[in-house]
Amino acid sequence: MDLTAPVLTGYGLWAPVAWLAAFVAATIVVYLIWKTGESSYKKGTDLERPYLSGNAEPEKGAVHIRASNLYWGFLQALKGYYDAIVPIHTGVLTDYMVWFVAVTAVLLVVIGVLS
Amino acid sequence: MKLTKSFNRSLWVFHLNTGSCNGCEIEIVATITPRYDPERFGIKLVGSPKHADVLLVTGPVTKKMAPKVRRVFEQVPAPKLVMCIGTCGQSGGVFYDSYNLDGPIDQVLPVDVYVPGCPPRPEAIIFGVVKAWEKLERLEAAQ
Amino acid sequence: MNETPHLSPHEVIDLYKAEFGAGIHDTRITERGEGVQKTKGYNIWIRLNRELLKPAIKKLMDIRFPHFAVIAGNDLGEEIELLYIFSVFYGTKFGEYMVTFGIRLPKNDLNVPTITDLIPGALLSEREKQEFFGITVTDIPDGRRLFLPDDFPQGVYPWRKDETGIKPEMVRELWAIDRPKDRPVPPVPEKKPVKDEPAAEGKEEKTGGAAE
Repeated sequence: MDLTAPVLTGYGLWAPVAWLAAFVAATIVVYLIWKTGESSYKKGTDLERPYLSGNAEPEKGAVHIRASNLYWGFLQALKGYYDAIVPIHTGVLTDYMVWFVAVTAVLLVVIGVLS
Repeated sequence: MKLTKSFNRSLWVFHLNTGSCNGCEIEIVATITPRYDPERFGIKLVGSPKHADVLLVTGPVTKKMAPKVRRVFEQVPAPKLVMCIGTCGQSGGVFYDSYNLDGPIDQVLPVDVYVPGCPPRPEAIIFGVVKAWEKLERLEAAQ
Repeated sequence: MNETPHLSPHEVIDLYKAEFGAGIHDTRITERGEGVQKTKGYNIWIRLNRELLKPAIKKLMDIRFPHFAVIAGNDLGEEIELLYIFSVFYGTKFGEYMVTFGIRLPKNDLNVPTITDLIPGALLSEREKQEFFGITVTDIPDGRRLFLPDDFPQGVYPWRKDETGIKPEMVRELWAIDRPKDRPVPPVPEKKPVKDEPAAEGKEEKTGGAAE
């Protein structure tokens, strides 16, 4: 089988050897650029930390913003709903079972009445 | 990084105020103006010590500022020079006896060039830069 | 935009005297000439009782919203005097002047109400007076230390002139650090006093060219 020939799949043309050659060329270029950098700095000193007008860098936990902050606006708008719902989620398994059984019962009664 | 001849041709300066009255700051800004035009020598003011070659320190070092001064000094990559502008950083100046100062700047940082004056004239600051160049040339010749 | 009319310093003082009357101890207007034309600039000083401070500032806000400059302080031995310095009528040509309210706090009762509910920017100046004079600003939103380091001893108030001020052993002499001791005293001759030149005869008063 000819290794360098492109392979025709249902989604288009694949030329794996060409891809490999491109990656290798890119790696060589990146390595050359990285080699022109400054290597003689002391690791672990302040040279690695950001400049914050001379203040110490706070530990990551203090400044870390969680991904759940993305939907902050959503939470603020529905604040009333969340203030009502969140206390009901007690974390106790039997409470959740009670809710399940009660809602199933109501649902069955409603379906029975409707049909 | 080794000192090369082109290092002298472009000295990027970061200015650090350790509690000064701002008189020396105004004179440094006056030195940067087109009247004295240090930019034709390649000297420009940068906003971060990580881009700087020379640290211009003014003011006596107040107690709250001393650890920050040390941290900024460590963040300037080698090779670096420290220039102390004004007499506050050299012998206290007007604040020659104070309860809140951590001493002249050379108790906190290693200083290369001292420019006395209260505040020093822009001509004096430029003369200080010339002395810094001569020091750099000596260091480069010694390498 | 409705702006309040521009009042002259004397009118402002008359307004204050009419409203507060008894509580005002002393008022003063200092005049000075500014610039070549000697345009008049004024400073108004009003010395008040402590309780009248906030009503006086509210009244100043009705006259025209002021620009708060600083709270200056002084230790007068038995009392601490606080000067609240404002400037009004900013933006009117040659019409801006400084109004200073002075209050005196006896040293056994160093409380003063905060003005940050009227002027939020006064917080920094009040914090500074708290740590340097040892006064207590009631209802201050944030009473931390501002300029002094955290390990500065608690009962020491640097700007006071009595025994709670800076003690001599806290003072650090920067000029003596690393001073070389083996320098010879330079043999500089004493300067002779310069005698004033007698006024040259025939030297007339210099007048401007317009006087010719």
